[in-house]
Amino acid sequence: MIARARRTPRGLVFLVATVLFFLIAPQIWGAGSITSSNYTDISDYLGTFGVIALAVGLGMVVGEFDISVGASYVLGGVVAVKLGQSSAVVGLLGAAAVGAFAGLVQGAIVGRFKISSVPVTLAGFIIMSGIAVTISGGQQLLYEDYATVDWLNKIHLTYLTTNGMIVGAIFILLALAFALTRIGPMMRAVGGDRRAAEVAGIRTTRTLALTMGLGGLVAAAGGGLHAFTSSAAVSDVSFEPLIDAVIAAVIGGVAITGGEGSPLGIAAGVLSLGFLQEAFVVMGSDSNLVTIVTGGFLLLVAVASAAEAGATVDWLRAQRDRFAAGGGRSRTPRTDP
Amino acid sequence: MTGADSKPSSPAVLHLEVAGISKAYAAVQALDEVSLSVRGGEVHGVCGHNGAGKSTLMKVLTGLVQPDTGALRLDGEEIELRDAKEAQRHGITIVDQERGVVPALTVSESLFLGNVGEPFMRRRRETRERAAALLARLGVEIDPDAKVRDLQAGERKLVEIAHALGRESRLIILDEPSASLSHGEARIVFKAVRDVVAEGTAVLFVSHRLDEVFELCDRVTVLRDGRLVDSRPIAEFDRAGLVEMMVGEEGHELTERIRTEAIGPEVRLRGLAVPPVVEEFSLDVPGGSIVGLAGQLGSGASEVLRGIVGLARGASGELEIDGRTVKLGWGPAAVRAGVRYVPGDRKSEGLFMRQSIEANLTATRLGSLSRLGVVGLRGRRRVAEQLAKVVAVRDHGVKDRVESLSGGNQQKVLLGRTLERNAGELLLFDDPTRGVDVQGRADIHRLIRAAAGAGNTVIFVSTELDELLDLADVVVTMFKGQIVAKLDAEQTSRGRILAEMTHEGEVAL
Amino acid sequence: MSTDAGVIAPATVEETTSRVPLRRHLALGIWVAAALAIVVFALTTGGFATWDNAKAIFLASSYVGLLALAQMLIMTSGNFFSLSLGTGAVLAAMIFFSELGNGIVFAIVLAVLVAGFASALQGLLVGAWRANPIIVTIGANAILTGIILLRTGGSIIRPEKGAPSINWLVDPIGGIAFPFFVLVAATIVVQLVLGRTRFGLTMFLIGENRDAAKAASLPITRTIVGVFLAAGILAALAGILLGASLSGATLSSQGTLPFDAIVATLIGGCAVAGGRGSAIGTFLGTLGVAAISSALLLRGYSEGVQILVKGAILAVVVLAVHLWNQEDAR
Repeated sequence: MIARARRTPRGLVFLVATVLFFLIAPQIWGAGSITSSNYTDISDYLGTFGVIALAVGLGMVVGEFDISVGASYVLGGVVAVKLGQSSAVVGLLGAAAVGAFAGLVQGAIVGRFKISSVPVTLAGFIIMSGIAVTISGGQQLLYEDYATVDWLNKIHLTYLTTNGMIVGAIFILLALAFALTRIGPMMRAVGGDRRAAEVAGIRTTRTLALTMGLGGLVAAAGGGLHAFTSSAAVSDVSFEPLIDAVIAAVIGGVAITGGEGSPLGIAAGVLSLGFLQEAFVVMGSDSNLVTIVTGGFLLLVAVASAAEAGATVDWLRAQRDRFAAGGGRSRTPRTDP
Repeated sequence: MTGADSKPSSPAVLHLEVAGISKAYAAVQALDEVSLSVRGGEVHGVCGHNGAGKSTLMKVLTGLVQPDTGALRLDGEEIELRDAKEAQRHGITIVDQERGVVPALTVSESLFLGNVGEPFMRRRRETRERAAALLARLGVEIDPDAKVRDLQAGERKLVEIAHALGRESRLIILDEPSASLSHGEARIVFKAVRDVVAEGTAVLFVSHRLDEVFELCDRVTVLRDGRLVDSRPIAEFDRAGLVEMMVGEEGHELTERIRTEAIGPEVRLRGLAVPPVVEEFSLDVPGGSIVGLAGQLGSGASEVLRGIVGLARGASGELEIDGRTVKLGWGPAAVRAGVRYVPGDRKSEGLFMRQSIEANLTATRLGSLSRLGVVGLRGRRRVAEQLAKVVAVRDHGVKDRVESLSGGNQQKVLLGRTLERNAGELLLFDDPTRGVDVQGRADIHRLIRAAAGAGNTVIFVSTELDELLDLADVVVTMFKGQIVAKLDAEQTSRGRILAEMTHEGEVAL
Repeated sequence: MSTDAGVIAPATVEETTSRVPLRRHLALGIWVAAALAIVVFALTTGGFATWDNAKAIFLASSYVGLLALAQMLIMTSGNFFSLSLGTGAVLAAMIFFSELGNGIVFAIVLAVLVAGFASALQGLLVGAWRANPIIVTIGANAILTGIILLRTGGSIIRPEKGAPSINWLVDPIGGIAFPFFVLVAATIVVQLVLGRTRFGLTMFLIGENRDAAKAASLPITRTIVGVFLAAGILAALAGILLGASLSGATLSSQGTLPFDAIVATLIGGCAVAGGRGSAIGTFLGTLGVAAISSALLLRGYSEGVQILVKGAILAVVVLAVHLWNQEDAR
């Protein structure tokens, strides 16, 4: 049974749990009832936040932390608005190109020079924020192609926004690529054991560069979409979405140490967070409870995957033995190890 | 045992000829005009003790190393293996301790990972079918959708072999395949090997486990000190003869041993278990003596040391040192009782490579060098310099980073950390002269003997026959997790030790 | 267990010492060049080399610097960084303000203890069980944030009327703001602790190679808990001082402080892999970043350029640190 439990994807479990919570909890505790706007909010949430989670999550699968996707997102928005006033597609392409380039370069550096991704992508994050602020002059950039704005915000089938659907489509596309091509196993091999992957003949540097390039592309394109949807691009960058992205990825089954995870799982993680938040909105309760709950989940996951969790058992056993042996001090005083 | 006659080689069956291969590293001749013949349809064993040239030969065959002279002829045509990929293209693959499988993948994903010519699109069902077929060829039942990390060690090894097969390998080199396997798992691997060989693939079986060599191989090549000693069908060997060939001449000059009054803590190990290798290990060690635990990879010797000092999860048992009893399983308890451990892999677990010699030498002494938590820096430096002098680390100041030292000096620094301390301790050394040259080895042996003479008891693990004879008072050989023999170092021979390291029971020599 | 390779080829085990100095010289060269460029750039900026400007730089560095010292401790011990220090700082400030009525010293001590304890608990998970420090601190940060928001509802915590005056925490001494003196004192203390105490010296070793530390039976759990405790205390001090200057504490007061701190730590030469770091280096790194920002501002560069330059410096320093440490192939 435990084996079966281990086989079930973590993301799916969480998604089911949070959806149930969303549907049931307000009935028991809350004041409000579920309306279609809750669902469109979730769809929006996927639309705005999902791409960041996807980019960060894919980076984690190959065993790296890509901090720069937060800045790719913002820079993507700025570039998209600047270039896309007359044609949204051009704007998005421009944004995607910028994000892809940034990701490729950082990935190549991380792979080729074997530097940790943390300082490299932190530098990338800062540089891209600087570029974004410079281009936009620190101001909000207004997007004036209102036709596109309206279309992106249009609601379909009562529950979904175009924006959310597009991002959902990106997720599905990547999920298919992951499952049906060599991309999935290659990324997980590189993330799980880079040396073994290299020895098996996988080009790890190439995989790293392409993954981070993909992450940057997706984040930037998503940022562009978000700018269009809100008809403005803002250039201030914050780290919060990154942290939430890590949470969503981990909930969705991405392993902290790399080697596990998939776009589908990440989507499940994002949606889980969305449903969780909306549940509290419906209940009219403090959404801060969500923060505490997700924090708790994360700690549980960290402990569960802790490398030396069994140490305490050994320690307890040793204390018991010591006690049983009379707890006396050893004859010769011992100082250091 | 399978038939020993060499088969007539048909064109479809591989015939790899190694002709006069030599390879030297600086002053050392790793391989000296080695020639042998590998054919498809046979299991060809390669035996040799340390320094024989086995691993260099394998590196030549897999393209990792270029020979200085000599040639390789595959099916009559001379080939040059410039890199690993080229070797793979010729159908040569190796399964060893270095290459592993990636735990995060499923079995079927692992089987085709990194193979040239793999289609970009995976069809789940087709891949699973191919995987199942491949595993069936080995005669194994493993779920292709299982994650590698959930497999047992033996099953993982089988997946590695299947991976080699999946590359259409014509020659599979197995380097110590059963080292980390249980008896039952090894059986499964061997049966798979026989099935594979029956199809016409050639298998090179490098192993120190001579009982397995006799069971599995059709032909054996013995190397010693880089030279070919003999290469013939297995039926023409007997165990004693094989060991003799591996060991060469006796006549090792025992270094002058000054027998001092042996003082030190009496050590008794009772019921030490280190899953999965060691089930039950008990040993009485007289105070002040030096015990050489002789066992190859997979014998459990290293695991015994780690079990004592609490570095092996799930270890249990009892240690009695100088009358005090300690339950094993938690490191600090053993340390408090006076156990000191020096690990075998100095790079990953032993030294703090980018720190100074001083920092490394005093790493475990900071408590005694400090008052109220503050360390006396001058005293620390003095102690470090003194230790460096005692262990004879040459040509370096104590502020130098350890990573800039030679292997021998590094090993001395690692040992220096544990020496010159209180008396009454149990010192555990795993492979104390690994990667050290002759001079350094002599220095280190002197130090260990001095430590024992100063009132400590020593247990060290080694596979170097000369070292065991030189350093130990008693040589305890281990094989597959059990003690095989206890030999008095002054009375025994290299051949005897090797025989007891490579067989399960006592061997009549 | 000897293998053939280990015995046959002592020559290959022999490290070629010539390769080491070349990389290190290159790294040193980069550092010196970058430092020179910064100094020249700064000094040639109009209005930079004035006392007023220096004071501004000192003040700006104080809060970041304290947090940077905290991150440096965590990074050097091999645990990357803590993402909960900013919230810990805010927590400390809030407790400080709410307890002011019971006396300043009491308020400070309690605030520091609580924030320190919260951080130490995280250190326990990381030290005893080897849990991933980034995930642990992200989770702890979420929990702390949630708790703070629940209790305060997002409003600003201010000192009550009639509480003792805390202006001395903010007022300048000899022209330089008080927080800067705290930073200097903290730098000295941390430098001494790292270089001269058993705790500090052990911390370097654990950060360098945790497995080797385990094999040598070094006190890993105790040391790492101590590291996180110290980091929490430093963060608490930063929070109290910052809150005093703002006369209020709320979650958003941390701004980008936690990440500016990480940047400052890295620019100060700390290696992400652990085992290397210095308090003085972090201090200079913090000052350097503040100085550059100031010089760029004085020259009229936009905010965007300031950020860009900071990123570029970080990239250069990271490269230099990498070369200096010659990280082995993973």
